[in-house]
Amino acid sequence: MRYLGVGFLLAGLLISLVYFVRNSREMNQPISIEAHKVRGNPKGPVFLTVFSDFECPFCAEVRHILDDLLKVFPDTLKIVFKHFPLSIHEFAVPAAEASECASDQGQFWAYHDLLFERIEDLYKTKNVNNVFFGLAKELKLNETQFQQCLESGVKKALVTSDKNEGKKFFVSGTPTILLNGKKVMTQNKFDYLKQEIEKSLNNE
Amino acid sequence: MNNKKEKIEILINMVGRFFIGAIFCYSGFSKLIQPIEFFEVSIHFYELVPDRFVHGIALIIPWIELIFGAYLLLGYWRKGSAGVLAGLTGIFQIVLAQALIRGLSIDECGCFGGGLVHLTLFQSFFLDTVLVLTLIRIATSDGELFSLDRLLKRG
Repeated sequence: MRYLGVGFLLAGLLISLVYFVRNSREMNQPISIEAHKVRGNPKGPVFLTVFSDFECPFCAEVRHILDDLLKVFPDTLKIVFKHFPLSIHEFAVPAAEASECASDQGQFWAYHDLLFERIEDLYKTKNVNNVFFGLAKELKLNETQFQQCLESGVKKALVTSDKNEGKKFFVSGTPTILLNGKKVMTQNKFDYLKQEIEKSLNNE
Repeated sequence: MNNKKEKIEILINMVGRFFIGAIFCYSGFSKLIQPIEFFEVSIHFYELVPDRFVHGIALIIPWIELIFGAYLLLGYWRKGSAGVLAGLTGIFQIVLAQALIRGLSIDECGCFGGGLVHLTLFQSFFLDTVLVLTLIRIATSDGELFSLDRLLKRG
């Protein structure tokens, strides 16, 4: 009896400790929003932040779900893109940098879409930069400017900053979606996300 | 000679108990003090469990890790606690192995929540192998030092 009592006492102490620490911490740090990586209504009251990786096949799928959500909530929703290149993906960082170079010429989203569609091309070439240049050419970007940007590595800091921000929010894989920079979406399904957005709008 | 060997074995088991107990306490605690959704997301990444079970699993696992980790650390119900944690770690290994085989897009195993320790799937699989073997050894051996069981005079 005494033995069991000690066990319950220990468990009780641990539960109290967890609840004490949990109540003294709150996840209320604001998430940064860069205008060039926003899709939808920039003034929309609800926003989804997606931490994504161009080499991640699930991110490519989620992109279509997010597009469908924007069609359902054209006036109230905005999507914020954040880079979270995974270390297991060899070309994820240069791909993220290339998309940032395209954004200098106002084509982040066009490049983002094209990159997701042509990601397989990266595995078929010996020089991945040629693929990035090819996509830039297809979008009629200023090739010299794009090439200089990509080769200088000037966007590396921006990509790293996005990833570090993700880590602050405990992001460990892709895609991870946050609602209004706070609530973590536990599923990447259309119906679930739609329902959560509706709930958020009703609480406005 | 045998006596010396026995003492060394008890000492190794005690160190193993402290080390593994602390790992599980940290792992459970770091998950429990952050919003549950983060661990739910980690579970989703492994694409193994139906959605309706994810919340329940995310709710239970950290408590098992914390409570049995603390029991092991303090040497309370040593054999049982080591057995429970060995079973749990075995399940983790299966989950990690299938993720490695399928090449899932998971950068970090999510084993320690958003804590200070970040392990890749492979690192985590290796750690779990060491943990399972040590836990089995703790669960099947007799004799102990600095434990509540000894204090409470129960094996």
